[in-house]
Amino acid sequence: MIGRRVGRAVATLSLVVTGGCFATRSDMRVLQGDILNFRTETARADSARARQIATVAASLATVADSVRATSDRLTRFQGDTRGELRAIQQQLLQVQELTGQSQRRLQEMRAEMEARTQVPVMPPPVATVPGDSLTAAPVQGTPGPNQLYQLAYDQLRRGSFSAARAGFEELLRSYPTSELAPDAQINIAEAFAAEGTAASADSAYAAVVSKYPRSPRAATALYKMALSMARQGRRPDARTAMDRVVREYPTSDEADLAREWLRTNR
Amino acid sequence: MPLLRRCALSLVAALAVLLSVAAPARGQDTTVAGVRIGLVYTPGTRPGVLVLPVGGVAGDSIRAILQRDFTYGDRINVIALEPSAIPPFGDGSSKPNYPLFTRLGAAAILEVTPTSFGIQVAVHNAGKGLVERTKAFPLPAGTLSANWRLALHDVADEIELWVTGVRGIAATRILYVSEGRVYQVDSDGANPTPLTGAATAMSPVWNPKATHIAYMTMGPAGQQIVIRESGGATRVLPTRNGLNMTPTFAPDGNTIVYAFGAESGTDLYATNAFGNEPARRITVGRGSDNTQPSFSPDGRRLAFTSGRVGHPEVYISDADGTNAELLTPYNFGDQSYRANPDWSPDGRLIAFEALIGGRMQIMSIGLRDRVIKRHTSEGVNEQPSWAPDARHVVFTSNRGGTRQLWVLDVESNTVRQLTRALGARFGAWSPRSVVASSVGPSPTPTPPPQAQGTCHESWTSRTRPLGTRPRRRLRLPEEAGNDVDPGDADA
Amino acid sequence: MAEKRRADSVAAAAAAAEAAARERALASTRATLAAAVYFEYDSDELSGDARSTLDAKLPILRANAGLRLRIAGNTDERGSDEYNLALGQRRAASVKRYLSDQGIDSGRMDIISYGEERPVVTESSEEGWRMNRRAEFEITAGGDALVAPR
Repeated sequence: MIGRRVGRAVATLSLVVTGGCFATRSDMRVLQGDILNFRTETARADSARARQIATVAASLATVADSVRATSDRLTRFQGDTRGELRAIQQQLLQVQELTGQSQRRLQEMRAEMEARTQVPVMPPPVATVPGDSLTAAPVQGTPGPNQLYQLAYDQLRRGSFSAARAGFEELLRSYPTSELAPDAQINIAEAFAAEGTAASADSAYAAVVSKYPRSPRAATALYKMALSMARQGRRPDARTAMDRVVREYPTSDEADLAREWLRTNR
Repeated sequence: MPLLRRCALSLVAALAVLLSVAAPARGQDTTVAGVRIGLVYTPGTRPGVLVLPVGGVAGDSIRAILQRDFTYGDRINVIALEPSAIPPFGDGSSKPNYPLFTRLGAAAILEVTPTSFGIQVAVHNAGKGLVERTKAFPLPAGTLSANWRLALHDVADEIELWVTGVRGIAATRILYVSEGRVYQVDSDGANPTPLTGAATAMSPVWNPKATHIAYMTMGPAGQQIVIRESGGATRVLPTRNGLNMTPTFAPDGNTIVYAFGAESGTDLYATNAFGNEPARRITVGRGSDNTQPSFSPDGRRLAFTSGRVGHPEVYISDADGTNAELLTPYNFGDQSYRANPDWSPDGRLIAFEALIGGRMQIMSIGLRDRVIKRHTSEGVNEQPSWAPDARHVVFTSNRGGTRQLWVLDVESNTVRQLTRALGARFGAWSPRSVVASSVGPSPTPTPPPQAQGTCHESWTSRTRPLGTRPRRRLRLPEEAGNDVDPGDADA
Repeated sequence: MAEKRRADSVAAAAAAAEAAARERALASTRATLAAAVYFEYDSDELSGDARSTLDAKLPILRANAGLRLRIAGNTDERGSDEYNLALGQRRAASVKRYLSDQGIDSGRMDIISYGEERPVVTESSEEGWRMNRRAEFEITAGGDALVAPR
């Protein structure tokens, strides 16, 4: 469009140049009028175009804004979701802690109950011979699993490791299906470890995993075994055990620690 | 005759003083057959001890220091008589008038004589009327110097062991932070000495042999842990950039456990004290804050502060971080605040601080029975640290207007002020094995006149006093305690 | 002649006004960037107010790619001195996490905790404590070339 107009103007101009000698005043006026017309027309066209461009630009900006707003909303949403997830995780942890605490209290209360119910049962005939209470079969008057566990655990804490071991072993012998069996088994390993007999400790830890693979103690035992191996300088064995913790008990606390150990002990 | 009258007069004066000042001392000359000096320590009773006036240039100082040490130990009742009020105690020509001194409330009489190299101590058993034992203690040169005082404190500790069966804690020192610098002060408040330059130190601790200390300083990229040797040399524990704080030495002396935090909570890490192995994380905080570790004396357990339920509570776990459990009783929705655990050297208690009525107070919890006791009520009281006797606790209190260190006797809940600094906090009580000039700022290699453990076997063969030797503390003492304290025999 | 001088002085005044406006914009940019965010007792959660304060910083951080910040977490004097260091760290981390969730490169932000060691108000009162439970912002790089966002 512009090209055509320019073409016409050029034609007019060339006419002026070639036929200049014949040009009259009125011709000049017409020409000037034409040029003026042409200028205003061009200006009008330009401003219309500018308006069009502005409109397009404006609508583009609106689109860009809404895109940005959407993406902001999205990141905000992501951020919020992350925050909420963290909050939920926090609440879960809280519940976990409380469960752990009540379980412990429960265990202690059970031990106490066993102790109380035994008081009247204690005197009757059998258990009057002194000194054989530990070797006697679990009959009336012998400690229940919770009480036995508590006694052995106290020995462990006060540093009487062999006595503690004997107690836990007695528990395993008398109450092999007790829910405290995995705890007894891992504490046998702990007693060995405290005495410095690493090999016995390791096999006792391994027994927790093989005998009670579904107990929460299994992950703990496996991790403790791995640490024990690392302390003995058995790096490859330690790595294998750590790998097992991560693979077999991926959601346990121990897996969390094992992952970090594997990362920092390449 | 005038001598006799003077004697009688001073006796009257002495009795008057005794009745008014030392009234609780009466009736404590209970004699347990066959036990040293006819005395054995039982809670609530304190044998009366009278320190005779000491001759020599430093005599008055020696007597004052010994008396103060016994008083601060809270196990001996010092018959605090003015020298002029003390009746003559015989001069070698005749047998001392033991019944007179028994009536004054003295179960034991200390006769301290300066010698060319130190002091000679004779302990008289007033009840039996004989000298129970004598021993010569060397004292370093430099009367009233820090090392001299430490040596004398050690004498006081040994005498306390003879009399009560429990070694005293006078020859110990306490670390603290004042205006960003780590200081040490003697257990009686003497010789406050800066160990570090101007800085932003926090949380100083001793190693088990008191040959090193560790503390935290603020750096440009976070906080670091500094280890300072007795000679004064320091090095930074190699750790990651971020918040590295609250170091503690394991009883083995080789392991340091500290808290490290960057962008996802703070967790406890264990590393070699030389930092030459990768730090091993031991808590699973999952974004919460886990700080302020404190080892059990056997090194197999760990107490720490964790915010994993949403606010700080005290936890215990195995030293490797497994089997973590909430120690302090927490109920759902409870917005309490319990922090800063310190495991007692006898393994029985954990001291901590708890928010009560908006103010922190010093508490303790029994590990066996989970019984909680509250020990303070005046002002804000925090940062408990056990003395090696497992009976005294140093803590920070603002009860006097500024934050200062105070010492608490957990059996009687009585307190005394330890520091008078421009603000003091983070008290850390040394183990018993603190040696002269071990951490002093200007180390003078004077050999410490240690006489401990050399010749009191005959005294201690009958009953083994609790925690007399640091090594003993590596086990929980219920084992030893069962035959001493029948109240604990529950097995 | 006089006319030109007048025109010159008008132009100079305009330039000065423009510079002043720019300076003001820059100052307000700095203030927005430095504005602290405040927390509830023993909490690292960002309130609505805290989020708005942080949101106001986003355009500045986007407009100044060379800008680096140090976020410093602080606490009130209550509670354990040591635990408060950890709490301050958690507050700083929470702010950094929010900003990076909003698209700011986390490499541009360092965090540090001062716990209760650097209070802005030393008075022991609810109001004093509220003012001290904060995260502060310090420009560690790119502060000289700071421009106000358009």
